Amino acid sequence: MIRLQAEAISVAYNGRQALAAVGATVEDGEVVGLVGPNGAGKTTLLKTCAGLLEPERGAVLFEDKPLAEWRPAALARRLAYLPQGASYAWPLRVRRLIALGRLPHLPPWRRPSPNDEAAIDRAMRLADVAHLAGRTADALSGGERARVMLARALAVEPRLLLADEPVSGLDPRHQLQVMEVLKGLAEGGASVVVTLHDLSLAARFCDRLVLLRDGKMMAEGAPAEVLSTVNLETVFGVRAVSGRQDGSLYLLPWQVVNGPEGTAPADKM
Amino acid sequence: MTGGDAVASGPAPSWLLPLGLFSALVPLCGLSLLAGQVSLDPGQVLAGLAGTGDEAYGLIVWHLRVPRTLLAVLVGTSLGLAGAVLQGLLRNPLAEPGLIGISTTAALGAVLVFYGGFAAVFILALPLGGMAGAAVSVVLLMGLSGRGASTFTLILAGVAVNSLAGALTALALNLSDNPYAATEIIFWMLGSLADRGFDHVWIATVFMLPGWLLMLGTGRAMDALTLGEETAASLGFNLASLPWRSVLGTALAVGAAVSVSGAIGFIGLMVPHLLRPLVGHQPGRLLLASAIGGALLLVVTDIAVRLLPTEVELKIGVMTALLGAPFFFFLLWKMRRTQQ
Amino acid sequence: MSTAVAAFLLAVLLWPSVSAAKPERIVSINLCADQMLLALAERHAIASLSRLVADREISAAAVEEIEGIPLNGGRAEEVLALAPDLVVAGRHAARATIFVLKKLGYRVMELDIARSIAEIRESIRILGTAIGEGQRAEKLIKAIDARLRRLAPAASGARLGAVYYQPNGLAAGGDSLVDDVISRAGLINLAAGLGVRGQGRLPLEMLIMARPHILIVDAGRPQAPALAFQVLDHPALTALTEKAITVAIPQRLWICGLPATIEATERLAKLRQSAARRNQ
Repeated sequence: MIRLQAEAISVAYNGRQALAAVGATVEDGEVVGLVGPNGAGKTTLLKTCAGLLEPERGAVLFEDKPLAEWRPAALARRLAYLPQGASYAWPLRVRRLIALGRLPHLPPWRRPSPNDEAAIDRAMRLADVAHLAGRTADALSGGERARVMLARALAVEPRLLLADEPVSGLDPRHQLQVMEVLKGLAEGGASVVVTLHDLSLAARFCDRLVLLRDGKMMAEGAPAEVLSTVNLETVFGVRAVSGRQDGSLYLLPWQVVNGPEGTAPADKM
Repeated sequence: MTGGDAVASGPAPSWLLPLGLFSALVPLCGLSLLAGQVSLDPGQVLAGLAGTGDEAYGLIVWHLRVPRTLLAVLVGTSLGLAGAVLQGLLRNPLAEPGLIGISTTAALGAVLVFYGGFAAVFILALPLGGMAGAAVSVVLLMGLSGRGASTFTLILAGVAVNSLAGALTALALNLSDNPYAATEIIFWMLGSLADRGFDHVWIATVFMLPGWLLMLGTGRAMDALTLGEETAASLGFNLASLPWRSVLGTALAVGAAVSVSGAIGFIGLMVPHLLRPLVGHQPGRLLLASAIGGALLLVVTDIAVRLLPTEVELKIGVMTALLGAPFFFFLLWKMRRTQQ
Repeated sequence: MSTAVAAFLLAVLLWPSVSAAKPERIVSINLCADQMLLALAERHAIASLSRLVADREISAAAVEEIEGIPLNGGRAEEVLALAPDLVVAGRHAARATIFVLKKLGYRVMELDIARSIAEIRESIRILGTAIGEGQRAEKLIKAIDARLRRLAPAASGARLGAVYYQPNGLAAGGDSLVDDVISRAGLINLAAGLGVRGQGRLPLEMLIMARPHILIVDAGRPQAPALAFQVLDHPALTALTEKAITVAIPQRLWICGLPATIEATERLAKLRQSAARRNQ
């Protein structure tokens, strides 16, 4: 079942065309990765799919209904958005921060039910932050904070999770753990859209990739196809060393090449 | 209430603090009935309440001390709650109705209505004037300081608004035909609960209650805002309406409060700060606690003002300033330290 | 015949000193002095009165009395321009103005605030002598005494408690003109008993506990609103007035110590009489 469908959306942002006629589909049980160089429009696309930005042209449909027709509260129960940065205004206790994810499920003036508490517990276990429950947000490392915010998004128990660079800033162990969590979510029937810079993680954990550059969709499909040598050179301006392990592709960007941006190659002596 | 491991994760249930504060408030209100220029012992106060015994006791208790105590509770609640809302909305720990000029503009509005003779025609015009004044400055401040602007900008904006509103109030009073008007600025700028009656109580309540409801209703949205505007929006909150609900709620409650008691400062600054650690810094939980905490603090201050052996009763705003200004200095010092 | 000539010569010799003593251009810069002069001096001898005398709230002077008399704002320059031979001022008001005028050589007479009816008599006598109207002064004093005698019966009997309650919760206490008026009317000034001296604050609670029989308030108040009057409209006070007798006395009768002040005494004495009768 198609969970999310973005049809030819164009978004203007800060005076420039951030996205031009980009389309994508996300099905149940999929992890879709958004990849591309900085400024490609990955975050813009993610936000538009979350309903946080209005496209000038095109539409986003969630469960076959345009976003505009969804009541915000109903949408919030099924769609979770995890922004970059893990910032917070007040240093709440970790468990209370994560509990904010249950807000869409709580009628006004109602306290969290045992059901809600169980959802929070599950989210904390998945994100491996259960041992941090009593700490305040100020007392966390950057990586711990990122996982706490992920737990918050997981606490929503969404059908669709839109995560903006959830693993940047995490150590290798936790990077793998988070990606496993996202994969697990998809295996449980939900859908995940995630923006990534790490091409190996993208290749390994995503079912499909969408490659963007300068607001345009350059490629879409299986990781091996999208992350072809040609695409790597033309879009990213790099040459990579690749291989396979356990059936998954891995990629190690190795060399800068002359890309259309006119970047000079690193001269080999 | 909370799940199995909530005990391990620490904070007490949300209703504990408000309940604790409330249970301290009740006996203090009783104490407030015992304080006054005529010394009455508890027996006489009770007789006055019951309507037995000397008529004079009944008059003093019912017409003077009960309305005064009620007004202290109402005004204190409004100021404490408004302080918590403003600090949550502007994401600034120094926001409070007095410091940033809302109380002063509310006073200006009330002064224009009162000395213009409109309050004599329609008694609710007085709190309406206060509310209009308060609303003007909240909107102005939100525009000036934007969302999450620096403390410096906010305080400067407050200084500007306070100066202008204060000057205009003095002008309005001097232009009044009544010879007493010029000296009455002290009441408006410092505030007083003395010699207020049930009239003041009910005209304030009419507007304060909806103000409180509006403000308390912003709690969840403010909690969500902890995670930033985008996440809050993705959690289903209408962020466009939040500022307006807060503005309206603050204007209603603070405007009504100032119109009957003058501008009493620092309650909205101190109470949320003192209680914030006790609610785990969560802005939504802070609201109810600050409301009751504000009532508590103002009742205590009002009792102190009556017990002080001064010739003329001290204006309550002087007392709150004596407590609040050093507190404010302490806050500034703490902020400087964390910056370094 | 020679005795008559001698007497005539004596009169001629003495005449200038007698006429020199009587001022022809009197300027008053004080409300109380204004009204005293109107009662004592010849109209043509009054060069100017203070602007306050035209304010009906605080001045007992009739419109016809002051018509045609130039009014002054009490400033030294205005006084100089009027070229007075006598300036009458209040002792504790306008100190700077008095100082300047004295320095410039003008004859300034300082009137004390009358804090009792006896002091009113004194003021009349002193001013009357100073302006050469000693006889008129004595006549006025006699009239006052006659009125006091006439009201004596009404003022004798049960002494009821009274308070004069003003805006801002001020009350007239001991050592004030109002206090003396109240006493002479046969009433007890409860504010004085509660420790108020002169004009001082009497908290509403204490007023209620004092349980006055008679509550005296100002007659009329300015149109423009002020917080000062809220205490007078307070429900607690209203409840009190339902049990006590309220009487409104115009301020102009006792803001200054004047012959007109006796009217206040008369009113209160009559009130005491009827109240005492009702009690019986």
